[in-house]
Amino acid sequence: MTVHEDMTDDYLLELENVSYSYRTRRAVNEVSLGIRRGEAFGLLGPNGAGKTTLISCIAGLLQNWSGSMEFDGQPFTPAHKASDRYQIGFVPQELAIYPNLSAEENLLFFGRLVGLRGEKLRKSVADNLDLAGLTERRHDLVRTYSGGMQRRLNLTSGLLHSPSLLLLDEPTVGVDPQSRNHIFECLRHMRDAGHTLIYTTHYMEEVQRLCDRIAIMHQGQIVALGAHSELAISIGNPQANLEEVFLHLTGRSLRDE
Amino acid sequence: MSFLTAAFSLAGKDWRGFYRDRTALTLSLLVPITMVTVFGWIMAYAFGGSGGMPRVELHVIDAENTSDSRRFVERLKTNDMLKVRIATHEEHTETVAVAWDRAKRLIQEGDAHHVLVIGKEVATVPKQATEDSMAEWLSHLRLARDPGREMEDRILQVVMLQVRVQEQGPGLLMQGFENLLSDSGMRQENIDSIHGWMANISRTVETFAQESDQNFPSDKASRSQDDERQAGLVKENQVPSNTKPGSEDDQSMGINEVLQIINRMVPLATEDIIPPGRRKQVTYQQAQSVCGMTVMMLLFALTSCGNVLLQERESGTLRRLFSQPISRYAVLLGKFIFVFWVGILQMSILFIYGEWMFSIGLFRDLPSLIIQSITLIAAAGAFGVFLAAISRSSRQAESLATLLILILAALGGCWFPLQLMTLPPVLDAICRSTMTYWAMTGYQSLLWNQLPWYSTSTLTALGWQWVWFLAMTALAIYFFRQNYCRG
Ligand SMILES: Nc1ncnc2c1ncn2[C@@H]1O[C@H](COP(=O)(O)OP(=O)(O)OP(=O)(O)O)[C@@H](O)[C@H]1O
Ligand SMILES: [Mg+2]
Repeated sequence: MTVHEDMTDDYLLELENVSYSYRTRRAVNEVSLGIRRGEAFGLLGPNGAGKTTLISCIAGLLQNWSGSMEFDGQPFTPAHKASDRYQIGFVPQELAIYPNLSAEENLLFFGRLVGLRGEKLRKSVADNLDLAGLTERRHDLVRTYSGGMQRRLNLTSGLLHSPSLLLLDEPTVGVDPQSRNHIFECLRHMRDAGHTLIYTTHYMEEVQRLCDRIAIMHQGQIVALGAHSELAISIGNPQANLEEVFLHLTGRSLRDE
Repeated sequence: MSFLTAAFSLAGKDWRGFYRDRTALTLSLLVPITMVTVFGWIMAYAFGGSGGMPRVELHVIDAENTSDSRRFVERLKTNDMLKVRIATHEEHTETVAVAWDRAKRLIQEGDAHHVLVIGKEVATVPKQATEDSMAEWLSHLRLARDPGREMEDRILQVVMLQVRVQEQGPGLLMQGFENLLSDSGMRQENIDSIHGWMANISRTVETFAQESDQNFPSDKASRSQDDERQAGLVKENQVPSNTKPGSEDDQSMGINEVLQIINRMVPLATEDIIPPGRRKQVTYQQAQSVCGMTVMMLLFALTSCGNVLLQERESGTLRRLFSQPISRYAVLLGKFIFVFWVGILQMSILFIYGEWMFSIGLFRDLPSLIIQSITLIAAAGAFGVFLAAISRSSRQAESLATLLILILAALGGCWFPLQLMTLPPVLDAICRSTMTYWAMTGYQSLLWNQLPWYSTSTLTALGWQWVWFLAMTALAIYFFRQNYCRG
């Protein structure tokens, strides 16, 4: 299925034929898409579809991808340019925080890495502790936190410098509905404040609630792109919920490759 | 599942994981094999390569330059227990007094630990009344020695005895023991019967030795030691007559008694030269083992700290770091700095504790100590980061670290003093190329020889450690790029 984009769109990030292979395995295959300024963009796909790989290319973790990216109309090579990485807040799929530091120490450390100092740093850390709901336990070591608390810290560790583009790789796995709601409110807050979000998850209702547009990825390719209603129409069932669209497009058998 | 089934399933799971990490597996099998090999090798050379005694470095200044003196030097050179270094003035223009001053300086500056000066005027020992020419010759010799080198000193005494026996035959030994026996109160007829008995044994051994291996002059040495030992036994077993019962401890002959006998047979004018500032109670062996353990422990500590790089990768935090607007090399440099701090902390604690415990004057020359320590910490830290950069898992890194550190420690002389070994040129070169060897040399010249950091030998040691630092850093960067920055 080919996706046609409105050429007048105001894109913050544009990918053109981006591909990436791990040795012989092609994980991302000729992906072209544009992310609009200020939108929440949902990236769905079965396990192994290539979501994390695609996000890693954008976050500058992988450098040997082919194709091209543009950010704000400028060539974008985050693996090679620190200033390109500065545009991005990356929240990895796995917990990437230091268990032997407190929440506050973690945030102070990551804040310094993005160049915050002094009062700015303190304020940002306090805001983000608040956002994560960890102000009270900010001096406790992270390894004494519950899974949900660690997730919330993992999320806010990527937001300290208020980057214009947020890459969120499954920020809500393994958390209870309360924490999930909390994270959700954070993200909605970020979007309303003008940040652009790329969001991957396996929870369809999250995407339905948060995202303006959705891309469905399958075996390294984007197989559908648009608002929920557009996707439902494209599979010939305007009443279909997102899960039905997803299963229709990616098949019902186990997808793990 | 039953208790045992569960336990075995767990063991099986771990075994599979162990088996799957091929590199770690190979390494953990390789460690014991390599250890045995390296130590077997080193140990063999530590004791002369063919089961003999370790070699002692003896500097010789022949200020006499007569045919006798030259013949004597030649005889020393052929001795298996000695590494003779000729320090004679090139044109033989030195007077004995000047030569003696130079000998003392050699020891004070740590370039030698035993210097033998040959020259008639040095005689301080009265000529022995006996008719033997050897005793007369001994009065031409004077030995300057570093009193901290006890082990070498003992070996040297044995050598002198050996030289004398070579000159005069085993009769001398017999005479020495008979004197001893009579001193300890044995009646003359008992001594005579022992004499007859010993003569028989000695004849048998002689015949046997001549038939089996005429080509090994060193055998004479071990044979004379055997004789000694036998004599010791004789004393223990057959001379209880005059001693009080129940005081058996007094009868056994310790090494000091043996040395006394030897000393009596080979009287040699000897003077202890203590380098300025050294505290007397520390022996070379103590200093050596303290340095050795310090160096080895530092390597272990710093390689395990280098593992933080692998831990970052294994815990996923490295991905977050790499997505930050910082250079990836900043991450690598961060690890260097961390390891360096740990090294400084460890060294400081160790030295402060060591000084408090043994008061061996560690802080006598603080700048030199700091320069040497920082150099070693840099080299060892770079080594630790390098290991982390080439390894794929922290387990792999740990096995590799154990393997390499133990080898480096053995080759560098952290465990056995290399000075006592006669290494074939290849092994010698290998030993000299290790960072541990130069670290040991650096600390030894500082703590033992009391040399400042700008002395030639310390500078050489420092230089080689910096070479190691640079090489390890270059390799760490290279493998960091290969293993962490690709993809
Ligand atoms: N480091 C790696 N080395 C080799 N292959 C990899 C590596 N990481 C991912 N892959 C492969 O690349 C493909 C895409 O993986 P990726 O992690 O991007 O999927 P994903 O969509 O994020 O899946 P999930 O929803 O399970 O997180 C998979 O086939 C995976 O096996
Ligand atoms: Mg993923």
